[in-house]
Amino acid sequence: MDIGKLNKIAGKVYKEMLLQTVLLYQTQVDLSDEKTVKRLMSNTTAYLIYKFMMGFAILVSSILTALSVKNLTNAGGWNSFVKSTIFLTQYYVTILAMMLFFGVFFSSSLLSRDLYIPLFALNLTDSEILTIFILVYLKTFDFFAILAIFSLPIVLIILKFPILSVILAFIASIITVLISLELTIIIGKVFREKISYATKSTLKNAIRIIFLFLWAFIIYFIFSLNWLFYQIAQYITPLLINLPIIIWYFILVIFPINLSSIITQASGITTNNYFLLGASIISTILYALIAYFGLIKLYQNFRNILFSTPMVEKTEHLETRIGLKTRSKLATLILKDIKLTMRNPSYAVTAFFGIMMYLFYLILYRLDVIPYITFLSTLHIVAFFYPTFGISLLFIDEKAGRYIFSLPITLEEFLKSKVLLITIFYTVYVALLDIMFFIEPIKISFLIAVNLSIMGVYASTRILLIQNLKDIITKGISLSTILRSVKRLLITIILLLLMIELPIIIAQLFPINMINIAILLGLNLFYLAISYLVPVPEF
Amino acid sequence: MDDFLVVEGLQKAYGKIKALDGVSFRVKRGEIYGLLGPNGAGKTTTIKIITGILKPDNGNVFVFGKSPLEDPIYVKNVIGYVPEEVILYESLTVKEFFEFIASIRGLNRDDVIERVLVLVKSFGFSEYFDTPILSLSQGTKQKVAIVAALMHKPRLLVLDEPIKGLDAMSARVLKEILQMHIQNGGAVLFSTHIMELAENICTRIGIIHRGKIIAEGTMDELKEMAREPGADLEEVFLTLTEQIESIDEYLRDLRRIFS
Repeated sequence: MDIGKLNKIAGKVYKEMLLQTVLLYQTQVDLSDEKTVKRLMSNTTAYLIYKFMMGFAILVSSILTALSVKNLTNAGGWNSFVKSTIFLTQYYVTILAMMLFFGVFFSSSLLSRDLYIPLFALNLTDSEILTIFILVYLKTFDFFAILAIFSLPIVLIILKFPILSVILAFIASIITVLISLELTIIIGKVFREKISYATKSTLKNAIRIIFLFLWAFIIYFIFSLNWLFYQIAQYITPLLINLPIIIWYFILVIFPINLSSIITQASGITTNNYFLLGASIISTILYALIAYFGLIKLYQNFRNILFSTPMVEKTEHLETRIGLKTRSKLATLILKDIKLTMRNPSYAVTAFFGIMMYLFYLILYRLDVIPYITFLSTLHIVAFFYPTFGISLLFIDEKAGRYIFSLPITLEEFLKSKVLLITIFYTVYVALLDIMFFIEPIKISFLIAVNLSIMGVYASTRILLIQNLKDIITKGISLSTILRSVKRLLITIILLLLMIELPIIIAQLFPINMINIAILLGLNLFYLAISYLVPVPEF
Repeated sequence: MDDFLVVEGLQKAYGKIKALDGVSFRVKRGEIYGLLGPNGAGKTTTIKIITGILKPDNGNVFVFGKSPLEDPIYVKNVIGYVPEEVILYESLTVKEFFEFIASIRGLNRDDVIERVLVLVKSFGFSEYFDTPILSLSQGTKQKVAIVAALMHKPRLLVLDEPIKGLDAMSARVLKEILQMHIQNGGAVLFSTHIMELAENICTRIGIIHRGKIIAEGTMDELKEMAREPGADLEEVFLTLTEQIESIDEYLRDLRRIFS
């Protein structure tokens, strides 16, 4: 069959993959209703919008990067070389982060063999099915992968950069995109095989959790690096400028700094150090080889996903291990959600969010990259996000959500379990702040307000979930629909500002004494009471 | 009370499509009531309403005298339900899933262990006890759902296509379980496409077509209604759902293209 026909089939499979991804983040709704299914299908366009938005971000980023480098070409010298290398590194890290994020988001559906089972019944050869698989994989990234490859070289041509720098930027973009594609599959496979499923071995489960935390931290780190790149660049530029040349030989073999360095040198910002240039060129050739062999490995991985039978873990004697544990209904629901959270990296980021924010910003603060006020504001903002994570927890049951409501569980119990879980996650974060207070003191008024805000987080999460629960269950509203609704977003922001942020801000404005603490406590208790006045919807 | 389940005039529409148009039937103690119907006849919608998953537009359901709309927790406690499409928590192991169900149903740990042990052994999946549900075959997932539905000794079993995907041995085990269940004073409502199964084990059969129960009774009563005394259930079913003439026409066309 010719590639055009295979591409048409791949188009159908790609659409199905988008729908499967929407369904993963959709729960409970009855799919017998044609209207609901149509609404869900319309949500798949949201992913195309995200793709275009990310593509636009790459385009803007490439223009800003090229302009920044262009300004430095006039000055020249070692300082300009370091600055230009940093700007270009940020650009390539951005591409890497965006592609990884997008790939990992789809990886559950992307790496699912089930999507291709209908094709095995058709008169297609194994190699044709493999081609379809690869085409679907490429379609997931098509628009912004193309932009990632071509946008910087084109902008460099427009800004009249030397042709060698354009060619090198093109090669560097291809290497970055290939490495991103390969990493996506590796990360996707790791979390399917090593993170998603528990085993009976305690050691393996402990490693799994550590793996998950590291995974969440790396993803978070890459994103934070992008948000804070300007501050980090400002901080590290003088440090890097003054580093001994010998250390630069090591720095220049790190991906993607090596790519940025040779583009910088080809742009005319030279260091007159041919050994440095040599180090960048050699490491770039090395990464090009890694990308090439990675591509071959990727092909083998695709073959394995499609044509190998998954291993199923069996156990020997049931009688010796039948110890079933039973718990209270609420504890069971919370424990189930904790297990699902710890087996799904997207949700695990939610659980570890506060801890990661604290550790990350503490490091930056300690290194003097950010001032104390930024550090404190970040800790402040963390509280704001927790209730919104509660909405995503409503989707954690995925398709099994339809089964759960055939069991004797009330909506109140269902709701309470999610609200309590978010409160537990937030409390762990607050406990970390309390412990760290003895090591890294933060304002006591802030600490007291944050401790009391546990009640505010509980109350606002409860109201937010009640507000969204009915639509999610009865109308099949998906997470992306909720996020796209301006009205919902405004209500959410006002609610969180009022219930969480306001008490923390008030605590900063007044002196800390027993009366003010009592007022703060009263305000939080008042919010708690209000949250129980909001009626839980009937099914 | 002999009527374990009473269904009265159920109506449900999905947009313009009428899925149920006044479905009524009863399931009594000691009965295995088979709900038979072609695809899209309304079997699964009826079952979802009975189990409290779906709200009807009109009509009533009473399970042991209680409505799933007014007392859903009571109804869900006395029913053992196996859905048509078995979608469980895939990242949980079989053991974790059974712990989840036992805890949600508030079962005593010691009571449930022996029951689960015997059921798991009988359905032949003891070796997968610590396996994530995702790794199981569809048939084994079906067995997990059946054991989960039987764990709390429900008085009324509601099974939507329970044999689908089961091997011969497990299908036999399930049939025996259903017989034991009704002998102990329970009742069963199940939907199936397999005519032989319905004919062999059902005490009464309701034929649902285009959202209505068009015929109901024992096997002999249905044969009488269809005026086909010597016929099997398949023929009776096709006659009552007025598909027998279409079948003859389709067969003529099929013979032509396969000759």
